[in-house]
Amino acid sequence: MNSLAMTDSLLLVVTFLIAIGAKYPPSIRIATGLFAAAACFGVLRFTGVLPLPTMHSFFSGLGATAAYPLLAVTFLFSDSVLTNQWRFSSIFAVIAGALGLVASALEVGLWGNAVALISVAALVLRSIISRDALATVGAVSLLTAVVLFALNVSFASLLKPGDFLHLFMALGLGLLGLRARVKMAQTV
Amino acid sequence: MPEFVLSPNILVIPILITLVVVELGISKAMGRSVYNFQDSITSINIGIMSQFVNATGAVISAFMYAVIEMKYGTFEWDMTNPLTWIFALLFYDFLYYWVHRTGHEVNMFWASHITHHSSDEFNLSTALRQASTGFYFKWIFYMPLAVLGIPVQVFVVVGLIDLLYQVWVHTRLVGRLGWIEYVLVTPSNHRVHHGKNDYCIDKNYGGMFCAWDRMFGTYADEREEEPIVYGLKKKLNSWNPVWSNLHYWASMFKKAGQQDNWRDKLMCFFAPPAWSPDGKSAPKPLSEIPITDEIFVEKTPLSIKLSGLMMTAISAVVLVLYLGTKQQLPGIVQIVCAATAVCAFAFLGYFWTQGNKKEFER
Repeated sequence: MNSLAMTDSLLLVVTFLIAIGAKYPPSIRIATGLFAAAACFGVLRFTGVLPLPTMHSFFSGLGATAAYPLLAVTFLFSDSVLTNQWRFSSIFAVIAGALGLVASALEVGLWGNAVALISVAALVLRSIISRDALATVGAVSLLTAVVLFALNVSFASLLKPGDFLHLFMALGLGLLGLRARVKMAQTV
Repeated sequence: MPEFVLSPNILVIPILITLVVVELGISKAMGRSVYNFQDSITSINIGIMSQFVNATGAVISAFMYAVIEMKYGTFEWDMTNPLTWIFALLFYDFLYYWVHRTGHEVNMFWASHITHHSSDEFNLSTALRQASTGFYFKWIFYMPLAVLGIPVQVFVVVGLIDLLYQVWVHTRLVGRLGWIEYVLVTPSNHRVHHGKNDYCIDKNYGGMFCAWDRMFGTYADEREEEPIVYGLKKKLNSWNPVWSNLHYWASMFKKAGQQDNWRDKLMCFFAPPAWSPDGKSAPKPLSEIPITDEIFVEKTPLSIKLSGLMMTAISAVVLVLYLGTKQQLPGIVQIVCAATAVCAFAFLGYFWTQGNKKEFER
């Protein structure tokens, strides 16, 4: 098993656990569900069990264009219907995903990276302003993941750019998930 | 001079109009009144206009589908294998269920689909009353087929099969069909879909198979003891094809403009159609809705009827000529043709509706 398969497995476990967790708000469950789908196809691809590279890149694209903004919405507008109602979270995901597909069809390659970067930067700012340590570490982790992947950083022959993306995303999403759960418990 | 090319959507036009005439004849023979002249002509005009617009708008769907299928298409499908077609049809119908459901339950999509429900009648001409504005969102829902790699040709054909299947279920002349009611969408369960009785609201979204409705809890059986009343709770009151496509957009934007905050403004577009900012979102029961506007049914002079019929016949001929030569026309010419058709229908529809109103007032 190569490193990408292992790090994607970790990301799959983290995102899957959040996606099926009834104690999380719908927006974060949909966002992590999309990441989980991408990670699942990643694991199948990198282990060689069922290599479906186009599925992996399709869901990764959806993750960048729909899941990151949805994640940002979860923390920027935590009391809104966008965060707390399945109906509006899913409409948001569908529209954001559709915009991503249009950008992809029109070969606007920067769209996915830009949307992901802006969403994560907004998350970082929001968590710093609200002095939320847990969310700040999570958001900075996600930002690190996006930036390192965009810069194509690798570490000797051990870790590939994709590994950094998977590891920092798993850490970031895990912490943000925890934060959302705590917040929801406090609200209830 | 562009060459005329016969395509399946051209062949379908005379078949559909013949079916309408046959249903009209059978209903007369049975002594039943299921057609209203202006309503049916308006339905056909709306259908013709939608063909003009969608012939251009469908390019967006086809383009998006083809590009996504090329980029992300996961599997190779053997088009000579019947299983490919069966799977594609089933999956298409499943996705259609969600397109249709969203078209009813999200305001900005309902603004488009409402056109199809704006008739107070229910007959084969109602099936032709298709929206001209749906192309902007429907393609999104069919992307899973593209990602699976279903070839665009298969997608187009199963889409056509699914659409054509839905024509015959728009009739009041066919009763319940026994065990078929458990498998396929039938006239009986589609009558429920078009009803405005309380038990009919947001029910029976299926296109070909009713399994999806049963699976997701949106199925309702027709009730013999409660005759179905068709159409919109708030009547359209117009024979204008363009207004039938735009009236809900206009009221939705107006409603959004009246809201004090952004949340409520956005809710006007994304909440269910019955949503209101004061929280009184439950739709009124049928018994509280006054029955009005028989004006559009009764008093229409022969001259207005004939002008409408003539307009429809001419439009149908022009549509056939347009569809037959469209492929050879530059994109800009296609857009101009569609825009011209819309303008023509807007003017003619306006004068026709005014003619009816004046006749009533007299």
